[in-house]
Amino acid sequence: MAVDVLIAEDEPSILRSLDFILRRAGWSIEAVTDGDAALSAVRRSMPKVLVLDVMLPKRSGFDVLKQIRADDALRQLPVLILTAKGQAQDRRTAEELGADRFVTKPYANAEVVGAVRELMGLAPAVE
Amino acid sequence: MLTPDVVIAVAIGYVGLLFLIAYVSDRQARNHKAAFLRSPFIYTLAISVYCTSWTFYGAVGSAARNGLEYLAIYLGPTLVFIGWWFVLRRLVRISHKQRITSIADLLSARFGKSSRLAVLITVIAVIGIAPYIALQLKAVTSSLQAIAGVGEFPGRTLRGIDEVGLALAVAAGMALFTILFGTRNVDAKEQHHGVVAAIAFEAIVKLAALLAIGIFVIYAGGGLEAIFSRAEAAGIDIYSTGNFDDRWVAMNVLSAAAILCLPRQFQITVVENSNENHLRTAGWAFPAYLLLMSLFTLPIALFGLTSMPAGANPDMFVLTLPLSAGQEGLALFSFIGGFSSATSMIIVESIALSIMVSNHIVMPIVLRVTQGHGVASARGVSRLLLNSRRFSIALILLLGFLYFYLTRDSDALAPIGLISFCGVAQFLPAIIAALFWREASLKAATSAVAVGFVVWAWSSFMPSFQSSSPLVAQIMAEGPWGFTWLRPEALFGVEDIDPLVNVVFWSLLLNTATLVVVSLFTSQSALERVQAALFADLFRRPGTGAPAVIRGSATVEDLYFVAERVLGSPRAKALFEGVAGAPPPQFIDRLERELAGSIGAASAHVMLSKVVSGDAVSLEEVFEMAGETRQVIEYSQELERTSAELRSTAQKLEEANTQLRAIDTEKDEFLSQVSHEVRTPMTSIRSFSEILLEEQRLTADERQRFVKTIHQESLRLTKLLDDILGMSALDHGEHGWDNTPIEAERSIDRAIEVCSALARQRRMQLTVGSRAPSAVISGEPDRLCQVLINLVSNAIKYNDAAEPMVEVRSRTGRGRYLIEVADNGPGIPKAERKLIFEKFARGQSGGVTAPAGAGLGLAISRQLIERMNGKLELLPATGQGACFRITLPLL
Amino acid sequence: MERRKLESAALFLSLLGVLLILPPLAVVFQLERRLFGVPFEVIYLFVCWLGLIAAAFWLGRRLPRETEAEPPTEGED
Repeated sequence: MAVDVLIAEDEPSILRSLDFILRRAGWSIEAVTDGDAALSAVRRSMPKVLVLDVMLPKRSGFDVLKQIRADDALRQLPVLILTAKGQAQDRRTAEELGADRFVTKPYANAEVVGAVRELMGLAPAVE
Repeated sequence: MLTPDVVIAVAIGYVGLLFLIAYVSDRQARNHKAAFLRSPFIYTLAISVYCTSWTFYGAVGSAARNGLEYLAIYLGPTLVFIGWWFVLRRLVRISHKQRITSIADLLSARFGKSSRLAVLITVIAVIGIAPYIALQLKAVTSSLQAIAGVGEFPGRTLRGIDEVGLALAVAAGMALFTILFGTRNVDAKEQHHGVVAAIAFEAIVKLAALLAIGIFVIYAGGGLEAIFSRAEAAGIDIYSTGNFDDRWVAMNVLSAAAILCLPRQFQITVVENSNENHLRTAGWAFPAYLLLMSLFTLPIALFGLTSMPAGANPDMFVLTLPLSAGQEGLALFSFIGGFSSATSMIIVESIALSIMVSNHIVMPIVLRVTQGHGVASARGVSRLLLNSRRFSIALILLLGFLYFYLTRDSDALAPIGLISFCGVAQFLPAIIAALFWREASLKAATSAVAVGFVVWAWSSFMPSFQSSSPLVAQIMAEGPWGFTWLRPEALFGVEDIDPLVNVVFWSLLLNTATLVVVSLFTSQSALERVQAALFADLFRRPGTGAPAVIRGSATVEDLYFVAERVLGSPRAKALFEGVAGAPPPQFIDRLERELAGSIGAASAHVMLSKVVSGDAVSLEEVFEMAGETRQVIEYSQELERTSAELRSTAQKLEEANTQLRAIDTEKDEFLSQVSHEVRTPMTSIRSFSEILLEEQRLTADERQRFVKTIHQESLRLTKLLDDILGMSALDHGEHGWDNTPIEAERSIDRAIEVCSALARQRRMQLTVGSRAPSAVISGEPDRLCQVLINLVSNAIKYNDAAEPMVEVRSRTGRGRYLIEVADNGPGIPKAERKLIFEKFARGQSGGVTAPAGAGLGLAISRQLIERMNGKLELLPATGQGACFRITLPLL
Repeated sequence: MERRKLESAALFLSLLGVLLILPPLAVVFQLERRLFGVPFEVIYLFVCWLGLIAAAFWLGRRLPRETEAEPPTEGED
C-alpha cells in the first residue's frame, strides 16, 4: 500500500518531530532509520515524497538518492534532502545528484511542511 | 779465565757506562753545549741501531748456511738511503711539520687523524716485533752459554741455569734497564738526546768489535785467499751458485721495507732527526757503515766452518773462534759487541713501541673516560704517559720472551728476524700511499694493513710455532679443515715455493691490491682530504704553515689549561708568551702540533677539539689548503653537496607544508563535525518548541513528551559543548587535575551502577565478570568513572545482537591493572579500528556510518587514560563483538 | 748541474742500484772465478756497493738545500 511520505532519519527525536508535523499536515507516513531500509521501502511502498537524511547508517542519503535516480521506476520520485552539515559542498552534491529540495537542520517546521507540499504537487499522479 | 761471572760483571759495568753517557749527553743537550750531539754523524751512528745481534751473530750464521744471502739484509736499506731524496726526506719533512711521534702516528695523521688506524698499527707492530725481541734474547742467552762453555766446552757451567731461565733473566734485566734508561725524563717529549748518544756509542763498539774479529780471522786464517781456498778444498760452495733467485729479491724488498717501517728505525731516522740536512750525510754514511759491518762476514763464516768442530753453532762463530784460539780479551770484546747490538735494539725498539702504545691506546682511552678534562694535576698527563710507557716496555719484553719460549726449538737467528721484517713490511704500501697518493682513503689503508697482517700471521708468524703446537703442524701439512690451498706455506696451491717468497709475495700483493681497490671505491672525509693535501703538497707551497684545522671560541685560558697538563708548566708558559685574547687559528694549529709531539696527532686533535668545541674544518680552510688547481674541483664538489642539502631542505619544507595542510583539513573536518553534532539536538529542540508554540490541539500527554524531548536534547547539547571544551583543554595540556592514589575498583562500581539503568531500559544484560579484589592506581576517580561509563554505554547503545550483553571485568598482574569492557555487538570493522579513537571519527568506508554520539567519547577517553599514565586500546577482533581494554600501572 | 738534473740523477742512482743487485744483472757476474782469492760475485757486489756510496756522497753535497727546512722547535728541554 502506498504512503504519502517516506521519512529516512536515524535520530529518534528528529524522526518523532518530523512524523508529528507531517501527520498533522494530513499525510500518511512511513519511517525508516537506515539507508538500506530506505531503498527497499521506496520500492515497496512507492511514496509520493521522500524525506531523506544524509548521515544514515549502512548507506548514506546521497547514495540512496543516487540509486533512486538510476532506477527508471523511481527516477521521478521527488526527494527532499535533510542535512545537519549545511555546507555549500553538500548542497552542490545534492543538486548534482538530483535532489528536488534541500533543507538544513535545524529547520522551521513550516519550511519542511511547505517543501513537502510543493513536492506533492510535482509528484506523478497515482490513482 | 773468562767465566760467566766475569762476563756478566763486565756487561753490568758496560750498562753503567751507557747510563753515564746518556746522563752526560742529556745534561749537555739541555745546556746547549754539545754541538757534536746534533752532528749528522751521531745521527748516522744512531740509525745503525738497524744492526742488531742478528747482524752481529746471525749474519755469520746466515753466511755459513746460505752464502751471500745475508748481504740482501744490508743492500735493501742501502738503496733506500741512497734514494733519501725521495722517500726519507718526505717522511722527515712531514713528520717535523706534523710533530709525528711514531709510525702509527704518521699513518693516523695522514688518514684523517684516525685513532682506530693508529691502534691497528700499534697492535700489529707490537705483535710483529715480538720475534725480533726474542731473537735478541736468544742471541744474548746463547752468547752467555757459549762463554760458559755449554756444549762445546763442557765443564764450565752456568751454575745449572737452563736456557729458558737464562733468557727470562736477560729479559727481566733488559726491561729494567730500558725502563730506567728510556723513561727517565718526566717530560714526555719524544726526542731523547741521551739515548741517541748512548746508541751511537754502542754503534761504534759493535762495529769495532766485529772489525777486530774480522782482522783476527784474516790473520789467523793466513789471508783471504787461503781462507777461500781452504773452504773450497773442504767442499764448501764458495761461489754461492743460484743465490740470486726470487728469495734474494724478496729479502731485498723486505729489508728495504724494514728500514722504513721498523718502529725503532722510524724513531731514530724520523722522530729523533733534529735537522733534515742530516739525511744528506746519512744517505751515504749509513750504507758505508753497513758495508763495513758486512765486510768480514763471509771470511769469518768460512774460517769457522773449516776450523771449528762439526756441529758448532755458526751463529756463535764470532764468539767461539777467539775463545777456541785462547784469545779471551778478544772474546770478551766480541761479547760486548754482541751485547751492544742487542741492548741498543731492545732500548730503541721498546721505547718506540711504548710511545705508540701509550699515545694511541692508553691516551685515547683516558681521554674518552675523562672527557678531556678529568686529569687533575698539571703533571697528571706526563706521569700517566710515563707510567704507561714503563708498563708497555715490560709488556713488550714479556711478549718477546714468550715468543722465545714457544719457539725455543728453532736454532738459527736470521729466520726469526725475517718474520718480524715481513710483519712490519705490511705498513709499507700505506706509507708510500700516504706520501705519494692523494686519493688513498682511511678505509683503504685500514683494510689493506689488516689484510696484509692476516696473511703474515697465517703464513709467517703461525708457522714458527710448528714445533711447539701439533695443531699448527697439522695445519701446515694439510691446511685448515682440509683446504690444501690454504696451507700457510703454499698459499693458493703454489707448491715448491720458498716460504719467505710465499709470504712476502702474497701478503704485499693482497695488501697493495686492497689499498688500491678500496681507495677507488670509497670517499674521504673532510679531515682526510685536508691531511692528504698537506702530505701531498709537502714541497709545493713553501712558506705557508698548515692552516688551522680546529677553530672556534676557546679562550687562551682554556688552551693553556690543556697545554699545561700535557707539556708541563715551563713549556706551556714559553709557548703562550705574548698570546692574549682570542687565540689566532695559526696559534691553535701550532699548539695542536706541539701537543701531537707529546701525545700523537689523533689524541691531540681529540683533546683540542673538545676544548675548542669548534667545527672541524670550514670550507674556506679546505680551499686554503688545497692547491690552486684543486680549488675548482673541490669547489664544485662542495657546490654539489650544498645543492643536495638544499634539495633535502626543500623536501623537508614541503613535508612540513603537507602536514600543515593536513592539520588544516583536520580542523575543517572538526568544525564540520561539531556543526553536525550541535545541529542534531538543535533540530529536535527547534522543531518541538515550534510545535508547542504553534499547535493548540495538543494533548497534555503529547505536550509532556515534547517538553521532555526538548529537555533531553538540550542536556545532550550541553554535554557536547562540555566535551568540546574538555577536548580542547586536553589538547592544550590543561588537564585540570592531579593524579592521586585511588582505588580503581570503586570507579568501576560507580560506572556499573549508572549504566545498569540504561541496560535495563534496553532490556539487555550488563554482567560483571571476575574482578580484581583491589587495585590502587594513580589517577582521578571521577574521570576514570567517566571513561568507563562512556565505554559501557557505547557498548549498550550500539549492541544490536538478539540477546545483547555487555561484560565488565578487571584483573591485576605484573604491576599492571587491566579493565576490560566486552560486548557481543557488531564489533568494529577492521578499517575503522584505528580511526575510532580519532576525534569525531565516523565510519566513512563502504558507506557504513557509525551511529551518532560516538564522536568525541573515545578520543577523550583515551586522552584521559593517558593522563593517568595508562592506555586505552581496542583488543584485536575475535569475531564476536568488541572488547576495549584499559591498562593502568599499579602503585 | 742544475737542480732538476741533480734530482733526476738521484732518482737514476737509486734505480741503477736496484738494477745492479737484482737478478738479471747480478747473475751475469756469477763467473765461478776468483779475484784476489775472492769469488767474483762477492767482489762485484762490494764494488757496486762502494760505487753507490761514492755517488751518494757526491750527490749529497750538491742536491739543493731547502731554505725553508724548518728546524724543529726545541731547546726548552
